Amino acid sequence: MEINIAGAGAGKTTKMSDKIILLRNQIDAEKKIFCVAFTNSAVDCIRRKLCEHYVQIPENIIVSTIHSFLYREIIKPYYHLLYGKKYEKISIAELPQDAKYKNAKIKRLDDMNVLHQTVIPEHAKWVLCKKSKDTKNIKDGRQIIKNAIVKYCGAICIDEVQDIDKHMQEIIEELSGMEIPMILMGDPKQDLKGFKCLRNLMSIYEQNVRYISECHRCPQLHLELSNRLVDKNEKQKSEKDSGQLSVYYESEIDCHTLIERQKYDLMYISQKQGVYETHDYKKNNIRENLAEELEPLLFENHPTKDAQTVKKVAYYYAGKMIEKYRNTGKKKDAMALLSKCEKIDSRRYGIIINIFEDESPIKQEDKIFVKSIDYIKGMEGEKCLFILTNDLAAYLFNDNNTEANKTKNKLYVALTRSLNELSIYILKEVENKYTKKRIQDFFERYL
Amino acid sequence: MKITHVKIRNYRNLRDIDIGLAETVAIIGENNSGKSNFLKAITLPFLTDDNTHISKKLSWIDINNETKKCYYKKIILNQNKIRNDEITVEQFAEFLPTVSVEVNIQASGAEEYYVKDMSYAIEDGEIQYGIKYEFTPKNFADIFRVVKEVVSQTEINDANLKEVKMNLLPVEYYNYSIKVSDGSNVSYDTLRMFKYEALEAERDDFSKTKNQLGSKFLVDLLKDRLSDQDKLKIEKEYSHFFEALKEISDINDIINWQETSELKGAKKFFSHINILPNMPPMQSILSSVRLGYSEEELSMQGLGHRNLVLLFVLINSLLGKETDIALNVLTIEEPEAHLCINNTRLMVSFLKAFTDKNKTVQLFYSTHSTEFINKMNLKNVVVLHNGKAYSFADELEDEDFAYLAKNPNLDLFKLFFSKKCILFEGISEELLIRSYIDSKETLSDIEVLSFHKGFKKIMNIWKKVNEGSGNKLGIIRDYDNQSNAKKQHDKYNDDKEICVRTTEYYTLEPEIVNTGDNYKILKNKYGDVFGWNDMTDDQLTEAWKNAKATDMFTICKDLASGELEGFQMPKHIQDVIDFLSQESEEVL
Repeated sequence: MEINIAGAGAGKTTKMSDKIILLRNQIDAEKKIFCVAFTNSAVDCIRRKLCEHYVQIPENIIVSTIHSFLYREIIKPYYHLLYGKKYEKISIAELPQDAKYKNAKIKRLDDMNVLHQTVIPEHAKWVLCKKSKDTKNIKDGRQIIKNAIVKYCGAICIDEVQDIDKHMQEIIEELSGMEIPMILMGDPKQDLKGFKCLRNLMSIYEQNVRYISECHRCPQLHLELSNRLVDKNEKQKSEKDSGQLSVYYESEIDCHTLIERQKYDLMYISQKQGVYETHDYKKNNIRENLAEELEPLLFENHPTKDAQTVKKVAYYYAGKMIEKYRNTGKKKDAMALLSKCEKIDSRRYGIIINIFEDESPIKQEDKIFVKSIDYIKGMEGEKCLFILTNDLAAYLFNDNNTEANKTKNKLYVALTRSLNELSIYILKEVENKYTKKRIQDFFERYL
Repeated sequence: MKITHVKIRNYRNLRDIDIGLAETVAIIGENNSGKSNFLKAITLPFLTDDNTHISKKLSWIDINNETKKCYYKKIILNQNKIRNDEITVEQFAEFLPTVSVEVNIQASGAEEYYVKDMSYAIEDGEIQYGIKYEFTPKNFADIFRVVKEVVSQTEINDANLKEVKMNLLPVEYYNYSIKVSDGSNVSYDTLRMFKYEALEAERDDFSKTKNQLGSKFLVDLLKDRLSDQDKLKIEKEYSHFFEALKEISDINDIINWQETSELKGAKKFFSHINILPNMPPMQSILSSVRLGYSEEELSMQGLGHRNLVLLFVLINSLLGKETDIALNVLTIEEPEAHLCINNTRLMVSFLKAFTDKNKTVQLFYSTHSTEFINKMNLKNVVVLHNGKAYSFADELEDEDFAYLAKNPNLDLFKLFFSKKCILFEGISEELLIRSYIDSKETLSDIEVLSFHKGFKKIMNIWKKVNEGSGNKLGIIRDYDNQSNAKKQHDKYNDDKEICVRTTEYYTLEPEIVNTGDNYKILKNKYGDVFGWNDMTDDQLTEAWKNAKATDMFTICKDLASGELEGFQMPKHIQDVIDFLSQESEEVL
């Protein structure tokens, strides 16, 4: 197992693809190299890099997202051999926040042989590592499955490995124990979910860790700020000695005006707050989600209809209900469309009505559309605007070097996005808490 | 990668086949035994590049006749219940026949990646992989409705059944599917790695017709092997061709409409009409070539040459596809068709070299030629008889293969498919039996095969292969002082299909001399020549045993030409011959 730790802007993707190209020349041509990233855009990025070298990605390099990898390579072919259940579909529907509802929903999907994407790593772990109450048969079967995988799996490369959860960590350790070469690339400082699993791996496999310290993105000036948050081993340096840092105060300039004037190409905030709207979660597909919940209801009401018809009708209803909600702004109107034609009990009614998103009380014209830091991870911009909120200010101004957590990591990400100009916009809440004097003193060193 | 096991249900005359397979599969059997059906069935779970081939959707005639008979019987029995709705759709569904072909696939090493989505169980420490083709009713209720309609109109009986049999089993409500053996879905992405190519027996006119069978493979070859540069060159040449065409044939000379039109502006409109290049896809350009031999078109060649060239081109086109194919099932009906012995051997060695080298190809062929049965690899042999299949790989142990391979001139075709066949041990026996049979015209249909000992195994297989065929097997074995072995062999003797007889003595001579008037006949005929005049029967026997082999030859020659009148065969041989010839009278 090789663990490469590289900070923001180190050219991780390029390094990763270089490693894959090198690996491919070393391993048996019949074996596959699996290259895994966490998001579709990261997958596309690696694919592009590989295409620069190969023109067409060779058959034995398989690039996919982590969920796709675990489902297609582990769960789909082998899960049923151990646990007797074959999943027919993956659901990416958004889950309720409440853990109780969340688990109930996952269970409902499971009963329809649909696997929710959030439980993919856990199910893959059950195939490869362990599940409580495994019988001897299952343990023997697992060994047979592992033997089969080793035959064709030449290597596994994982990008953005800081995003792994504890299940994935166990899977990585297991695969490594099967003597499959593993190349991990990541940055524990960008672990925005706070899993800390990469940190764990780094301490367990200390002798396998390599640090890449150069940064090709940010000017040295920005790194002076971000390095304050970072362990000795992981401090970065840049050859860019140009670069700007500016500080604006909400108390002095209105955000709308600032944006108008400066034309930033990347603007971000810790998370959606007040007038700052982060619309990156729009991607979650309400229609899919609705349709999935409508299916079991329709099945119950129309037991003679075949599965395909039910799916079709569920999808149709979902579309109509969303349209209604958009037009009237009332969830109940949308639900009325359904209850008019279908028998529905109060439990189901509650589940379905809660899928619709609440409208924000803030007027549309006052809203400022920016991105959340979670969303911009992996992105960069010539001119960046970082809207500083209290949660992150605590880590920026206080020298108390607390252990890394996801908030501190967010700050690191926020500071390392810009290729040239970084503007920090101090919200009133921050100014009120730390005073303008203290803030000015802090930035004096850098400005 | 290879198919290790196949189960076929209700496909044409193959009602229930369940056999293991070896690397290459050589199918032997009499005419109408189901060889071609087997070759077609094995391709059903696989895709092909060539969509002109047989459809995967079957028709009424593809469903096994026996199975249909059972179905109709159930319908006739239950027609009242069907008419009066006393039977549920679910109960009715149980009657309906389905056709299925299930294959188990074994992968070695890194190939296992391609089969992983076909896994369905773990057995004996190994993951089992397999897919299943099924031709099944897509909606039972629809068929039930149709059948109810039919039985409501007329009372069905055996006599009027044939008038409504198609409507009683309406296969238009059937559909086919390819799934994992456990019935779960398998994606096209997985299936497309598993293909087949089929070369049917009716291929003689492949180079004659416009739709040349051979061209497809040739075009495949060209398409795969041409580099991007080559293709670019072809496109350029094509535009040259077009420019030339445009130059020679000015459109205005061919279609001149401006002059005659009376409408204003028509002249201008028409002047814009032009010819443009219609660059056909690469496939079409390449399709305009055809196979030749020397400077002649292939159609001018004899059937043998055509067959040879077709197979070579086909197999070459398969070679290019290794990278995107996990398994290619290649079925060939009678690769020996029209080939002379030298070309047959050429073909045999070509196929062998090809399958040895290409682990992604599994070859299935049917044959009537001993050249295509490799003695060193009898595990490959599958015998078909009356829609039943026997795989040597299942039926025989390693020692049995060694034993069969040891037999000189082993001819499985004569052994299993002769109407009447005698197996025996020893050279003297061969001479004698052949001579005797030659002397009697009525016995000319008896096949005589010299065999190494160990008839039990062969009788086992023979019985299976010949069940109900009316064929008969005679065995003449040496006693060799082994009464136990004799007892075991005698168990097979049923005097209906198999007749087993054992010698009493160690050698043949005393058996001959002690039979009937043979002692006298021999002494009279050969007394002077061989010096047997003053000998007793025992002395004669002894002298004959110690004589040169040519003496036996002389006697047999004379026997064959009818010079030994009254000569009788030893009883154990005569029994076998009687057994075989009796049968021929019965049949007549």
